[in-house]
Amino acid sequence: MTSTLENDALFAQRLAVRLSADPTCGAIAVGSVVAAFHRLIQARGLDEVMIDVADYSHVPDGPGIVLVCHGANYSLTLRGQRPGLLYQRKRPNEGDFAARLDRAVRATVRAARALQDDPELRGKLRFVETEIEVGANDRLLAPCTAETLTELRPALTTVAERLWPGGVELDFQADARAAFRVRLKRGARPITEIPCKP
Amino acid sequence: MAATWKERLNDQIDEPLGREIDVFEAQIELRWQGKLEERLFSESRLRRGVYGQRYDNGLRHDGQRTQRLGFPERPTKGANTVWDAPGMQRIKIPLGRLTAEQMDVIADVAEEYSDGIAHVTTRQDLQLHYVHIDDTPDLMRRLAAVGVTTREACGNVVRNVTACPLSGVCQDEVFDVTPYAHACAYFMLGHPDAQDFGRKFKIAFSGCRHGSCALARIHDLGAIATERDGQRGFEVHLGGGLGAVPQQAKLLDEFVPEAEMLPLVQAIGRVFARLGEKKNRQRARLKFLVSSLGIGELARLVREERKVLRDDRRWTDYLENLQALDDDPRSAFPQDERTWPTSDQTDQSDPTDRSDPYRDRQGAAGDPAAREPAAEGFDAWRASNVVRQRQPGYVTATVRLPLGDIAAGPLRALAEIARDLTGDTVRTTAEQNIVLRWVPEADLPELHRRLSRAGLAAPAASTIVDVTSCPGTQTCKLGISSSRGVALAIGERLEAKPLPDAVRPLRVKVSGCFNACGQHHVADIGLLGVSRSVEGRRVPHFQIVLGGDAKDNVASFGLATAAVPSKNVPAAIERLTDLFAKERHEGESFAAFVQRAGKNAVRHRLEDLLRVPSYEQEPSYYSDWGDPREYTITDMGEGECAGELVTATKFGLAAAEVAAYEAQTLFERGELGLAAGRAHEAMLLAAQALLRADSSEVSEVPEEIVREFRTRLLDTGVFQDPHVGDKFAQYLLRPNGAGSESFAREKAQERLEETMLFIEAAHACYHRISAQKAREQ
Repeated sequence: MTSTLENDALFAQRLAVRLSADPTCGAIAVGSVVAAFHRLIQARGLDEVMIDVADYSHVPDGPGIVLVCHGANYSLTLRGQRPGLLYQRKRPNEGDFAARLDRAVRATVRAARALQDDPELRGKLRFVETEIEVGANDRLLAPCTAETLTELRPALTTVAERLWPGGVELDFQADARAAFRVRLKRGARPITEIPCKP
Repeated sequence: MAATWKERLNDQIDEPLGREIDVFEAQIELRWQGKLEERLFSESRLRRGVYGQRYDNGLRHDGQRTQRLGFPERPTKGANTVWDAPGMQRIKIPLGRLTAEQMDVIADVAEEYSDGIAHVTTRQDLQLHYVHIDDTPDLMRRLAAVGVTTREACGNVVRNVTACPLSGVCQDEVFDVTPYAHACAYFMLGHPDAQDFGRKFKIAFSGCRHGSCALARIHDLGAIATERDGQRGFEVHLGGGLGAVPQQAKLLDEFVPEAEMLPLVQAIGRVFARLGEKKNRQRARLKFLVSSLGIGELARLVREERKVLRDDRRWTDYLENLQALDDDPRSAFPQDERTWPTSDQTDQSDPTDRSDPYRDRQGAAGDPAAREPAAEGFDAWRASNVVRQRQPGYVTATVRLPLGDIAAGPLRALAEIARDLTGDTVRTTAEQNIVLRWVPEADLPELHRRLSRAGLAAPAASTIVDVTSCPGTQTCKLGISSSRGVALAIGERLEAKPLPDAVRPLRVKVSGCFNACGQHHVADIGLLGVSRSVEGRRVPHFQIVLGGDAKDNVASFGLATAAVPSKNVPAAIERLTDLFAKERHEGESFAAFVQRAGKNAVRHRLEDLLRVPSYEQEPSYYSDWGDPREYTITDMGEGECAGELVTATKFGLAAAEVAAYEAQTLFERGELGLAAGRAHEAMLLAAQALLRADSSEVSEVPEEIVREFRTRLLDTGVFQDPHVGDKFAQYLLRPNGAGSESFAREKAQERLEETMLFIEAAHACYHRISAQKAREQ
């Protein structure tokens, strides 16, 4: 038996946000990131129940260094194809999809700023400010399909408009095996006018 | 309401498996409501592989002070275990055998519920870390839909049954142990005779006597393939184990015919459940029973037990189709358009010849002429990671996983590779790697290219740089020192320079504490995490354990030689291996070299590395590898390896309560007949549980349960309540009349209330039985 209700994607809770690292960043030692996350825990520098730091920098195409929190994980990858900061929500949050996504984006940006302000990383770590990737780790409610994108587009528009009023480009690739991801870039057209590529 | 995994996968999960997960979900709900006692819930979740993790008492030392982590106030999920603290989910992988479809799903659940990493353990299981307990039922459903269970991955039960990862393709095996190990794993899974152990019970199958793949003799039960007069059988060893005091298993029987293997395991389980230590958890493993009784007496008891077992078709049914699990692509994909080498293609090539050996060979990857040349690093990878199978034209390739970790993306890529280039399956190994079997040799360049793209083509598998490690302080509550951190540091140091041939095949294994999950006793160089106090501060150290030998299914255990500060361990290993390379005699093993040189002499060579500089001189010694916090052992917690001691009767009574809870849910939904039926089943479960207090031989047939309940418990007065006599017993004995759609609401409610009273009476009865037993003892 499957649900006959539509708009399941709007119920997705495991939201993900990724900020790409600026490719012009200098070399950053793994140990510096590990230490920065530990300092965040000591200082209670994020509005999270912060638990521990897990270093997976030895794992190919892995999550890098992970700040494990109760509500979400923050992982920073320095190497590989997609260096950046990834926020992955784990516990349910309140509000509608747009509100939850908005909170996730804000949390990611806060963590990015906290890392950029860390004494060991200051001046070394920068993030691309003209694009952001958002999505959901929920293959049940939000599979990586064009239908999910259609369903979530109004909420994505709301969040994108707050980031870059006036125009956003959207990049989406349907993939039956992957988790749902959309890349939003600062652009010239409102997100609602951009056709959806299946 | 949105769709759920339960709805989505309802028709894809085998009924008993789905039912068990539903029961676990109900137990979570009952624990939330305070209706399931902590200890019982704790062992229940452990038996479903839901394990605790470091900091789950809600406290963590942040390098300056111990902080309360600030989890929401909720019920506990075990002693000092905060509900919301993330935990570990162990996934049972019998024989380490995984299909491509299973790998895909494990990658998905790792990504969605965990930190995106699947971790291969030293017993061929997989583990996901940082999982929230509320997510575990859906996680289990998704695994169950592809035939994977987490049941009995932890707790005082038969743990994952392991086997040589090369079984079926190995050059040296007596025969393929795959079907036997598989049958044993599923026969004992949830078996009533294996539910009342004082501690865990580990089983391993080995295809040969001399190998080191299966480590059969460090298991509670090690079965080694052998033949007698053309008949297949097993040499069976009992009572092995590592831990603080390692013990090599003792020979129970030189030859157990194949058809007798499962009844023997069952009989051993019954003897262990009956006579094994239950109170002192430190002495409850089978090895202590072997020590106290002697292997001869234990063998006699097992033989006696075997005689009284009731025949079970499952003992031998599987023998009729031993090829059922064959992953030979020639038989698995007979109609496939791919081209698989055939057994009559005798491979005449020299295995050391590197001169384009693939040019004309057949393979699954397509036309040889269209293939690209081998990628960079191919030769080194082939030399270390590839072995020929006994089937001509095929090889096995090892995917070296650093610390046993693989990320979700590469795991999916590996699944795809297994689909395209092999017989669809892989095996995890005790060395925390994954092997791809049945690779047509002609496809090796293609395999290497695809593994390289996925970041999985690291060479030097199963060499000294491929260090095995338990999770240690990263996630384990018992970890003393960072085993993973030091393992990586050792690998990096040794890989930085060319290694002498004599050193390359040595093995390093690291355990973060004396419980020895990293199997340090059986390595050439083992490391055991300890701590030392220096000038009032703690310093992480590792005991260097030398002289272990994993050959012959573990020939000998190593002994501690010196405690080295963690930060000096890589240098110490390098010095030891240099010493071995320079001073060994021709053909001398590392264990023999250490024996000849003498431990004191070896220790003397390390003397300068044993000293710890003062904190002011070198503060880095006072923190551990990969963790900049000042080192402390205050984060250690109470382990869950020993599980909770919960009797089969208590489990049965808990199951009855879950059924009664489900009956109430059905009642609230207006499904009155079903509610009454489930309520009656709850009473049957409670009666069955009580009958188990005196015998594990309890029927599953309702009429027989009722009959036995009457004769053994009611007529004997055992169930008689001092105040109300046999009143509650009558609720079970009378015709239940449930299932009828026209069941009146009032009547159904009455049945629910009676059921609760009956279960309460069963609890009271069990209390009286236990008290009586205690008095008798």
